[in-house]
Amino acid sequence: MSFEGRAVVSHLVAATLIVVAGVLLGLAVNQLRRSPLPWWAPKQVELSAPSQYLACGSDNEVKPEASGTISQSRARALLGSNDTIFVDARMPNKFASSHIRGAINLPEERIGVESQKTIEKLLRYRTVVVYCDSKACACSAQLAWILRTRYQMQNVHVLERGLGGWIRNQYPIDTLASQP
Amino acid sequence: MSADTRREWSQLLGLLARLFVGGLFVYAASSKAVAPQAFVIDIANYRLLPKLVLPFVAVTLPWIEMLCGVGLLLGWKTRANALIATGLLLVFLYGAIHAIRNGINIDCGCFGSTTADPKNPIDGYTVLRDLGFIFASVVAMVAPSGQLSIDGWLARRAGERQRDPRDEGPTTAGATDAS
Repeated sequence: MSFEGRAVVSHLVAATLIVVAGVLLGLAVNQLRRSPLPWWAPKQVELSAPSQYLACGSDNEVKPEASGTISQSRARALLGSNDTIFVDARMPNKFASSHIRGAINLPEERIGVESQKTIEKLLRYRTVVVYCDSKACACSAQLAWILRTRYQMQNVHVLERGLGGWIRNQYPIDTLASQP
Repeated sequence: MSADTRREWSQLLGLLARLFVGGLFVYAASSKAVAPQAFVIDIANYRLLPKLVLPFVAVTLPWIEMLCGVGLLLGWKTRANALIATGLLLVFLYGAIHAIRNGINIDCGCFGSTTADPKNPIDGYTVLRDLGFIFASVVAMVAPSGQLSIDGWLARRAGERQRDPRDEGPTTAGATDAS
């Protein structure tokens, strides 16, 4: 084999070894994580995106059968329960002006590393109820999908008719005026 | 332009391309490596790979990128690392074209989901950007620079050993990557 040929083979061998080292390193780091990702996709986790990647505030109505919704009355019954948390998927300025009593704010657009503490908090609850403005608002469905798939939360429900329905039912909310 | 000047320009271009692609890969890998749960969704969105292997790819790909990027930044096994980088970038380019052709409206997830913005989906700009990265990676591969690199340092050391008759150790001239 010529010198050039040997050099090409040596580069290919080196590249293969680097790839193998990367694979082993990735698997090792994953095992050291507090919650390692399974190497193979678990069957119960939905890993594909919704049929349309909905933007928050789009006019697509949340479809109950597609998004695992919860009715207003059932959600009201869960309010105050120790193992249920309400999550407001709207932007912070809207959350500040009014939100379901005791809810926390987690805008879908801001989910990521910086929201890790909020995610860890959510993982402590058995049931998570996500909502946004109304039934025509898609960010709650999007956030619920992310929580189910990315963080493998099993019990995430989207509140039917959102905060608008909640207010019409005169269920408890916190507003700017009611906050200390 | 003399041959020496051409060689100097080629070395400078190779150095810049190597540092650029290396930095790019380290940056891209770091954001993916910290959140594999998010990255697995990004890969799934392309609908290219079978579900079964998605977590494996999400766990390992960022670390291959990381090793490749660090190798390029240090100038260690430059040609091998640039070869991996070019291969990965070609795969990413195929993914972007596949998404555009099939009307899959997603963020590319190229730099991890922490920067994902569904309002800024894959488009022609993503393809052009990938082509630019591929060009830089190919330059780093075909014109590896001995400057600021472990390969260059090893080559110089091997050269000095060959000139020094008292050094009876094995010659390593053929073992350096950039030579």
